[in-house]
Amino acid sequence: MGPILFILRKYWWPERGGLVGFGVWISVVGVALSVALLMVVLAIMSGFTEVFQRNYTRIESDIVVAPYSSAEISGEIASALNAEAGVQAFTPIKLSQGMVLKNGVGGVVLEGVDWKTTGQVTPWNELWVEKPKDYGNPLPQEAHWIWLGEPLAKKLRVHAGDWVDVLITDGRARRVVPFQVTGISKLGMYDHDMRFARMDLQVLDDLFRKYGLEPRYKVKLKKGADINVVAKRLAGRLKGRATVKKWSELHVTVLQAVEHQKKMLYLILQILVGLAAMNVVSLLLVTAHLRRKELAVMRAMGMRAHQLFELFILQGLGVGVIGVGVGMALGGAVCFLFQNFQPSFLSESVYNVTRLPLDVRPWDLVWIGCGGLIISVLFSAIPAWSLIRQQPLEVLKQE
Amino acid sequence: MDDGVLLSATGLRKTFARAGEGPVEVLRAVDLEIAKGDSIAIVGKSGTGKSTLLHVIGTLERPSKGEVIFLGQDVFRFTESRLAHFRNRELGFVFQFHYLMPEFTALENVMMPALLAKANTAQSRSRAGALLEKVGLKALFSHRPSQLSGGERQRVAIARALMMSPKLLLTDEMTGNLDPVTGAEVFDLVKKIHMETGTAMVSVTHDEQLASQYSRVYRLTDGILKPEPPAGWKPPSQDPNTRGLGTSRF
Repeated sequence: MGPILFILRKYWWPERGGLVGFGVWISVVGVALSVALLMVVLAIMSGFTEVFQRNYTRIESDIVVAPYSSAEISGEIASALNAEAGVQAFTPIKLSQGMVLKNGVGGVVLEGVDWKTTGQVTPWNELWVEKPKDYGNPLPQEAHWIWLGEPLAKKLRVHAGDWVDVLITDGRARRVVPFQVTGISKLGMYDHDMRFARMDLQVLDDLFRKYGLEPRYKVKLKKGADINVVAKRLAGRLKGRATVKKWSELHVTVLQAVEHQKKMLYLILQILVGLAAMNVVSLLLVTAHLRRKELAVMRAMGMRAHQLFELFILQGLGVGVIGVGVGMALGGAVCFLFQNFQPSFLSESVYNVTRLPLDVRPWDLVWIGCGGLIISVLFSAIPAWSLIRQQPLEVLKQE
Repeated sequence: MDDGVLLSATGLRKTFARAGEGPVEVLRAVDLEIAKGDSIAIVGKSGTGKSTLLHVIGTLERPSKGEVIFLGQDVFRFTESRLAHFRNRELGFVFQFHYLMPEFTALENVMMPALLAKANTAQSRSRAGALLEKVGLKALFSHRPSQLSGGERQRVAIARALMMSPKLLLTDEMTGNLDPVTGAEVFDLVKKIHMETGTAMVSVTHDEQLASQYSRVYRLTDGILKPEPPAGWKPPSQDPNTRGLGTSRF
């Protein structure tokens, strides 16, 4: 054991108590609590991001391909998608707008789906609140069926089997077309469930034939496929003819907002770790003051400046390592308890979830750990630096 | 250079700046030569710079002018790190207060200079034990400073100063904080160690009685260091037979 560790051992574990030993552990507790708090908060932020990602990729698919012009290039897009190894399935959609009328009004985005293939991209079986009786069996194309999201259905007080009117604008003329609600789904994103209604792709196309709705393609990737690589290859294949957007690009604003919020919270909560580490500074300043004569004599006996510096830095590092370690264990335990024993208490209409989602990400842990250690070490350097600048004799002369 | 010379201080000057006042010159062209195995006492009134001289010799303080040559090397040309190494290996310090580390046992306190030098722990422990035994604290190895008397603490400090077998032991009022009986015991101990080991010794003291037992005594007055005539000394013209001799010196 080196001399500095030998001295530290006695400082931290004095055989008969001691204020400094006690103070060290108080500092450790401070750092541990703030690290645990930081970890839980970041896990919740990551959890919400994860929920957002999961829900949107379920609804919007991993990649959306949209042709640049109205020119018919469906065949080329289908060929490109079929040729891409990372693609599991794809389905065409078209989008327009309308209003659903029944015991109220709901403005909606009308999404025309090719219901032969839509189930290969969007896991409808997992999303039904009221499942269509004929789901899985092709309906006649002219059948005017519509699927609504749960909050919209509740607002309009309709159930599967009810008829609603859909108001569409066709130039200057307005048309009201009756549709039968055959399914009510819940995708888990309140806004989305409130704003989207699905109908047959061909029917939607016919309703808006005058305008020639442009098709888009929702693409689901195989498990393990790298979305960046696949998107890049598809963009290469369809260069100049279609745009290829990853789900994260389609929602870049929201994701950036979440990411910025997470970064800001990280910084703010690291200040909390810093505040806890201030305990280390005050503790070490007290140590430096209480032990200034002993340390001065040790310097007179040959203790080198770097050894004195090590003595303080190692105290800070020790507080940091133990504090971060204990804090992460504590934070991990809190996350585990939240994940497994958390009651539903959130308003789904506001948060899209009823429980706090938690996702502990390895890189978050790395940042938390490094941040805590760096802060502890930097703060312990302050008293160390002030002490090594002091000549041993200056202290002894004060006697 | 004379092989017998351990340390040679030449032309030492030390000036301190004082706020609101002009600079104060504490040491004025001090010359001092310490031979191997020497024992020197420095006496003088309070505030005359005795401790400053000791600190300059011990490299704890740099002189404003002058040089300190230790075994042929100008120690103030050393880097801070080498100076620390030099103090660790060649010098031993005993101060008026013991400055022992309260969490450490007597044995661990004595071992400290060896630990700082990263010496073998088992060997250091063995040597520290032997030194504690030598200073009469065999039964108190595991006692912490708070469990020791003032005299015992100072004995531990002496053992600590001797841990690295220094060539020069510097003591600054080492008995100043002890009662007369304990002070005399501690002094006798140091005297005995000096006689046994031949470690050169420079002591600053107010106690003229103790000082008279050193082989040489210097008095520092107004920054000037002058040798004191030995006890019972008479000018050579009056008593040539006693020139340079002391009766109870070590």
